[in-house]
Amino acid sequence: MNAVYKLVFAGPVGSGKTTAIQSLSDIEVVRTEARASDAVRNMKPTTTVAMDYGVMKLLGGDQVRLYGTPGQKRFDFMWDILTENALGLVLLINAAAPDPVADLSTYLHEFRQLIERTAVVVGITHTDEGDWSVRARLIALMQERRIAPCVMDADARSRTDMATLVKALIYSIDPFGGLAQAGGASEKATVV
Amino acid sequence: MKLLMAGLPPREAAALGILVGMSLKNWETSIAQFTPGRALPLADVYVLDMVAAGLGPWSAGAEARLLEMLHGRPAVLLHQARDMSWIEANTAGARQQHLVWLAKPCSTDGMREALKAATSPTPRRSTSLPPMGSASAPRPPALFAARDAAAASRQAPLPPDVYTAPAQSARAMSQDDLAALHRTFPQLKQYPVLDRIVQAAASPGALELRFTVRESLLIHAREGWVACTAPRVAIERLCRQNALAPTLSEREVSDGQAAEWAHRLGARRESLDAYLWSLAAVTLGSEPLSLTGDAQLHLRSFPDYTRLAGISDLFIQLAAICVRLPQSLSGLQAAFPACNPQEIRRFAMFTVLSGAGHLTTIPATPGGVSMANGPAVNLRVRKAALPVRQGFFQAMLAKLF
Repeated sequence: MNAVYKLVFAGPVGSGKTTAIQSLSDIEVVRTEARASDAVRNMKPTTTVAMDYGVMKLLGGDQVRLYGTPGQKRFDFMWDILTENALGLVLLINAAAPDPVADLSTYLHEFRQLIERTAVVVGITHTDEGDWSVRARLIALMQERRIAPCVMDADARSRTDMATLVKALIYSIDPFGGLAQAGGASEKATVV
Repeated sequence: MKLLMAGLPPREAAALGILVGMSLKNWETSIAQFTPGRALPLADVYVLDMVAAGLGPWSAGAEARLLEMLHGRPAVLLHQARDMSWIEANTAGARQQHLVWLAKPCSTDGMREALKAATSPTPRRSTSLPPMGSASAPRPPALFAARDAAAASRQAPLPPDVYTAPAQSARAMSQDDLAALHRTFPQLKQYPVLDRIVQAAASPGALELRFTVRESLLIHAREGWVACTAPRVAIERLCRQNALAPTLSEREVSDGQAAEWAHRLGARRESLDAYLWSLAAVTLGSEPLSLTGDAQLHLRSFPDYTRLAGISDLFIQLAAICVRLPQSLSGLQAAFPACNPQEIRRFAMFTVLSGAGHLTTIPATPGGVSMANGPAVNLRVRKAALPVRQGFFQAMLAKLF
């Protein structure tokens, strides 16, 4: 029987979660969007209300389901549902937002159980519109919270960028998981 | 909790050390050599390979030697799966000791369970755990691939994300970092232009480096950006040729002047860490890097790999480890014996000069393992004999690229 795994993409409204999942998914992303009716309307016409859903189909039949959480706090009941049994968390932070550090702080707090149980990587989106210091400040916050600061700039439209984030997450969970791919090595560690 | 490993091959001891460091809070690991007739150094718990200890099949003498070796402390004892003589003997002497028998080969989950059982406050004397792949084993694929099995089965919670914060939490390179970089990689000074640029990145404020009357480079280390009036390829050429090194001049500029300078000259600002990494990679090319000695590498932050070209999986693996806990370069080499040691040195050098990491020199010890004589040969021989399992993580990584 093939295994099914789950990765969660979280972050504030407009950080690029839906686009990120689209970049990685082998299927058209299933979206649950509604017309934005609050302050979000100034940023984009529609917003995710339940979740985004994509799938990566792996060799051998295993699947990785990609879930995007709603960005708005009032839909946060979905966050717990979506993070149950998740393999790890990709957190996207919009560098051009009014206070990206506060955004990161909120999400590190809200998803702390998942982070403590597995691992988190942070992708900073919209970096060309943000301040130079954003990355350094996000790193400083993670160091302060004693969370390994895996923080990288990321373009949610770029499959390469998203793949690099997910790889960093996978190696954070299992540092030897891909040894067969690296540097010509072709064995997994086994105590014999 | 002090864990002492004895008799494990260097690669597996190094890998187990990294796994324990990343998975178990406040655990320290060390490796001991067997000396016939002598007990092992004191530790809270031992991981001991019975065959390597010369304690293969059970005998009364072997049992006496084992108990003497362990100082009455708990231990995980690795035995050949086909050799059940110790478990069947189940002697009174062994029953007094808190021992966990683990058949080889074992999985990550198996080892973790064994360590948990061995250090459990309620002793479970002489526990025996099944080998990897046996019917009663919980689907363990291979030592370090078992977290996915745990995640899939949802039975065992995953270990917490262990993180050791660096001593200096600032992101930019300090003068101490620069000194350690020069000590570890003196070769950097053979590239005086690159070295001057790296030195400028270690200064606290903004510096303008002038190459010619028209061309200059402005580095703002504190704000993390660089701007240049010349194209990147021109600077790369200068770094490789070194011809202009003697004429290079520098001056400090204020924050306001720096921003105005970049704006006035229309120079595009770029991220300093990615700029330095790329410049060093192009300048050094494939030239072998020599080390003056071993050093400990600790990353303050993950390198900004999405802004760098040609990043291998190995670099991502190394960053995932070194951003969580410090690692010696020799230890990394032991853990990745099939990888080119030059790649590990390159990773260390680039992370430090780009401001993501810092190095601490490790004093040389007589008889210490050097990078040059690691266990690569033995493990390459073993490699072919091991079955390679296409596990979830490998399939996932194959999918990503």
